[in-house]
Amino acid sequence: MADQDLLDKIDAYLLGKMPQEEASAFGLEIQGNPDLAEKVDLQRITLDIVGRMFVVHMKEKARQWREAEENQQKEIPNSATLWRRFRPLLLILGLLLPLAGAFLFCPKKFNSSTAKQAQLDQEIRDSLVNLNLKMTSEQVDSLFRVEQTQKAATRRRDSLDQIYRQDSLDHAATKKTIYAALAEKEWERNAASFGRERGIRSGSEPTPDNALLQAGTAIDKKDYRTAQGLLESIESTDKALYPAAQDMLAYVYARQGKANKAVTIYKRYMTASKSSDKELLDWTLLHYYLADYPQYKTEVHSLLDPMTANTNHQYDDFQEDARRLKTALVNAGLW
Amino acid sequence: MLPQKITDDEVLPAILRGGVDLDAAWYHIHKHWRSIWFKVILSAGGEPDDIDEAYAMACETVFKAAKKGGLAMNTASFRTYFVRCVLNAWLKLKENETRRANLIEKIKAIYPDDDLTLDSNDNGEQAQTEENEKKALVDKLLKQVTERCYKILLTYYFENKNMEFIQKIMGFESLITARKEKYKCMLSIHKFLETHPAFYHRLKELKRHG
Repeated sequence: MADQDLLDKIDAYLLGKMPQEEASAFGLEIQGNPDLAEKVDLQRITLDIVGRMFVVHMKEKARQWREAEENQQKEIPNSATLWRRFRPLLLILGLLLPLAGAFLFCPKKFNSSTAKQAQLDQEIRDSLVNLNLKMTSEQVDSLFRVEQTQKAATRRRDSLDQIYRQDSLDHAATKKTIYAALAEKEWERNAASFGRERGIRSGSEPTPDNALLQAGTAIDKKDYRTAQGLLESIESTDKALYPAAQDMLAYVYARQGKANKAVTIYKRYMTASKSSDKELLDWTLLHYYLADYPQYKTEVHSLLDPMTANTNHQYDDFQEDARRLKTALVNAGLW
Repeated sequence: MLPQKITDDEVLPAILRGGVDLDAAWYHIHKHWRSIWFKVILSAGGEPDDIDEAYAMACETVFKAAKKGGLAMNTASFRTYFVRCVLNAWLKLKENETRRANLIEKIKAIYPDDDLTLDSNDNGEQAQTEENEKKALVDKLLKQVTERCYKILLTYYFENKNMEFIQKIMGFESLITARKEKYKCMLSIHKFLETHPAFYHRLKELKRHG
């Protein structure tokens, strides 16, 4: 403790914190005491060192702060690398955001065409009901669904009016597509010939051994699955029944919505048929094509165009029928 | 950990208050004002290490002036004053007259209307060499001083705070403990000097010449 007190006293002396009289006395004591003088010298040097301590301390701090800033600046290239890595994603987001914003904040503009379409659809529904065609709302809805696939909305109403003014068209056909409805009319005409030409619809009871007759009965009952099974059981070796069976099978497939099979079978029938009535066969084939018009559009055109253009037909009303069919397709926006 | 952030206007009051606010003030000056003198000294051939030293010396000068009540000025004037202190400190560090001339030209280009007076190094090359040698020796010694001793000795001898203040800010249990700790720090320097007699005598010689 004595040394500590002495050190404090030397400090006070050197730092000028000692009263004048005491300082003078202490100075005299130093002069007469070499050990004390040595301690004062040591403390004087120490205080000199402590005076430098601040500069060293601040210099070290400045160095640390400077190096910290330089390190931060070195990290900037890393940020640039990060930016380059995510730049494509950010660009995509940048492009999508305005679109999303426009869609969210301008719904009226985007929905205006939808609203107009809905209004037009409602007008068409009302028009169909007002046509006094005794159509059920289900039929209208069904027809409407069909129409939605057509782009020519402005022509739909007129074309539908024209189609439904044709008495020969079965209104029940409106449940199917327009082209199928047009096709079915001819299928029925063809099916009616099954009985006339082959005795199927002659009123006689079908016998168990005649699959053709049994199939005819099933067709009358609209049991097309049974008819298909019976007709397919007739082998090609049965020269008497096979051609007629193929004709009927094509009809059965068409009725089941299997247009591809109907076309294939009917072409087989055309090959096997001994009929020389090529126009009538083409006319029937044309209507099987119509069952899947989008797929067989080219075939329909290639068959129908010559029929409408050619005036030299075996039947008087053939050209007229062809023209009516084409007109119906054109008016429906299908041609 | 970096000191807390302050504004330009808070720098001078923080220096005048001293204590815990000092670090924040020195850090703000170094971070936001350094560019003023840094580029000038660099372009005049200075090294970053010299600039740090000049900054530290300027801090010492400013702090001593603050203790004497000589810093009654606004923020802008204080900034100019600090920059002058740094540039003067760097000039003192330099012995190369060519660099001095370059720096003086650059300073005048920045402060054409300023009555900046640049101290000349009257002591000559010999004095400069001795001063540099002394600094090198002292720096070598101070590397032995612990951070805790740094803080106690700086607060007591440089900031002129009393032991009660040191006890409070450093969390000593009692005043006696704080005094003992300061005594140990002083003894550690004494011991170093006693165990390095050549070093001690060289310092004494330099002190005598100084």
